[in-house]
Amino acid sequence: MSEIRMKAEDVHVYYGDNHALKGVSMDIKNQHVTALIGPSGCGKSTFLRCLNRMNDSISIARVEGQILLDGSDIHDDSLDVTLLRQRVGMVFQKPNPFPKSIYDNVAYGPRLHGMAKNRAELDEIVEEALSAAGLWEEVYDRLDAEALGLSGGQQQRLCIARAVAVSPEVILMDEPCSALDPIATGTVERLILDLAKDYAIVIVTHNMQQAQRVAGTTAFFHLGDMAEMASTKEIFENPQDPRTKDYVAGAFG
Amino acid sequence: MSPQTSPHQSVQASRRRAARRRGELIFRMLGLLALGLAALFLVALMYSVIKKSYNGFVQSFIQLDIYLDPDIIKPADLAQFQASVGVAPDRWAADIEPDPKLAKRASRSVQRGTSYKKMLQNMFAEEFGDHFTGYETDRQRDKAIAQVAEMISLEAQFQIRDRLISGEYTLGETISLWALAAGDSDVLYKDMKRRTQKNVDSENWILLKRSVDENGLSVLMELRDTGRTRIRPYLGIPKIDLFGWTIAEQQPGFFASASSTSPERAGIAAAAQGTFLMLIVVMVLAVPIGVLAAIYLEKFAPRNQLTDFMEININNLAAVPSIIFGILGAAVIIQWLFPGSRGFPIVGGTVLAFMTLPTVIIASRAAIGAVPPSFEEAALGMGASHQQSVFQHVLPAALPGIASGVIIGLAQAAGETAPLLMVGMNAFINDVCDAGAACLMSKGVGMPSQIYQWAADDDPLFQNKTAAGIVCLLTLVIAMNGLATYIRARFERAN
Repeated sequence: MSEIRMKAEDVHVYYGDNHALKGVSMDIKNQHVTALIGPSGCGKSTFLRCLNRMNDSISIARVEGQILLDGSDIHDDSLDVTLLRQRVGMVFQKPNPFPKSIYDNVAYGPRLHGMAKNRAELDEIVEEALSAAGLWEEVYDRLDAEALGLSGGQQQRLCIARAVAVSPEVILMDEPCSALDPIATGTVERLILDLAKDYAIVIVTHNMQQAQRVAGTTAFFHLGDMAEMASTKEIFENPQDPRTKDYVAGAFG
Repeated sequence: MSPQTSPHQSVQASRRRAARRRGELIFRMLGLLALGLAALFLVALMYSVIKKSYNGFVQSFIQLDIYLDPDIIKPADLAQFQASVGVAPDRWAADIEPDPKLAKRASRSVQRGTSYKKMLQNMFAEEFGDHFTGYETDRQRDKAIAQVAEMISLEAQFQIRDRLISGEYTLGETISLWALAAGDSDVLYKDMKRRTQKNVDSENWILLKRSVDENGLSVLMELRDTGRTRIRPYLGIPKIDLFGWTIAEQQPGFFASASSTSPERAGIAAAAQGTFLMLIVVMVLAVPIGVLAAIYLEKFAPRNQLTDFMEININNLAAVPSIIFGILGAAVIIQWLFPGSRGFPIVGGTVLAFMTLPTVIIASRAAIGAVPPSFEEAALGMGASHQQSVFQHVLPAALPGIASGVIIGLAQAAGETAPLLMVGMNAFINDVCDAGAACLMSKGVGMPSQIYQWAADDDPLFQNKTAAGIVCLLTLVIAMNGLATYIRARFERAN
């Protein structure tokens, strides 16, 4: 059993008067993929965004409860939110590379956090990150090309490389394959399994097969509650909660 | 369901469809009609302005053979003057010692307009003497000749003077010169030419009641018949100084001269300079303030009643009549803060900056708001601070939109007249300022107020200059709007 990297305890989220997340507790293990599934509007993305405080930028959002990263509260004043996001990286639903070169996209984070002392070190970080994202072979000869000229799947892997470049501990992925075709999805899924050897990964997905393919643990969200969390095999083959049972059987959602 | 019973094939249904087609056809026709009318008005406007402006860009010239009479300007005086101003001395100057007392007299003789007027009058008396008959006294005859000599512009006298001083002409020779015609004779000659071209035979020349009298008309007709008149573009070359080096020497013409009481000498240069200086002030003031305000309001300001109130008022300010901003400038800047700054381009520019601010803020906010949030989110997700994500990602992506908004604001400022009138930037300026940055704080005039001034004069040549000024201003504004469109199209494709 791997160690626990993040721990959420009784997390509530309110958007104004809307109670979007109603007391979620969860352990996120290291070197492990945790999938969050559930119908639209169930709070899975909201919960994901709590983990690196992306909800801070929504002025009407209010988060209650405790989230621990390696045992310390991420809402603690002593923890800088930019440091938190360096340690808990994020990959978004739609590939969103910056309108810059491939190199500059990956180098953005290391530059931002002053991780490289010189150009050679930066080159090394960029190469490592692109290799980790399985993109190095495809782009090593055109690092100065515009990132927006890559295909959708390549762009998404570039975004993963960008997140990996700042050596995070946890990577959050918000439906990372929903804008990709099946072949690119397959590549990204293999990449996720690869990355899980080093990082804790939390992935939100609408695709139940995807959860089965990549995740060790799956949590089912419904109407702001976490209905059930167990090993992926358990959730899909022997769900305990009737709502989970209906959902994975295709009765709704 | 059989075809007979389908509700879509009933008589009512096909009538309904026919009515709809008719309605849509009428709507399309009305749209085309509106478009056609708009195009017609635009073409009519452009045609009338451009046609009228032509005579503002071209002027009549008269070829004269003038004897530079050494009895009118003494060679010794000229040499003394040349020595005192330090120009290349001519053949007398070698043994001239600059003497302040003599120099004063020399300067009067060389500089005085009457000297050259006299030479012109002598020329007319000599060559066209037979036009002046039937006068009882010589005095009356001289007066009539002097009147006819007025058909040559003051500019020609200055030209002869400057060439004499520089040594290009020498006293005692007879020079041949295409002299600029004065306003009235210019208008008369253009009118003559037009009627000849159109084969209209009429002696009712439009200017007989003005300064060109019967004698002038007959002299001008003889000049015309002997091929000593012509119409040529009179554009000039503005003086261009760069880092202390004079690249182009000033040559008088529409683009190089300041305004003048003589319409043929009036040019747009001083006004263009004033507008240029004001646009610099607008850029320095309105762009940083406007863009920063837009960034703050769009990305940092909390949403509350105060910011809502500000937003409503910024939108309202964009619709405030520009003359109000002029009154603000007159009351606050000129009467209260800096008395005596009336008519300075820096004041005019400040007022135009006030007026442009709402436009810049609104355009910048729209550009910033149109940046996809994904850039910002990506940067935040990487651990960038809010400010870093705005300045490193949102602002660069919004820059083309901001730039085009700024240029449109500047174009609007360049064409604004009312505020200039309120802050005294409609003074009569007959000299192009060449004091560099200090020109910001000397009385100036802008292109719209210069056009306004000329338009108020009923002299036909000033009317032509008005149209020529409008063409210049329109060209400037269209060029600026074109640049804004280009920037927007060019960079929107890149994103």
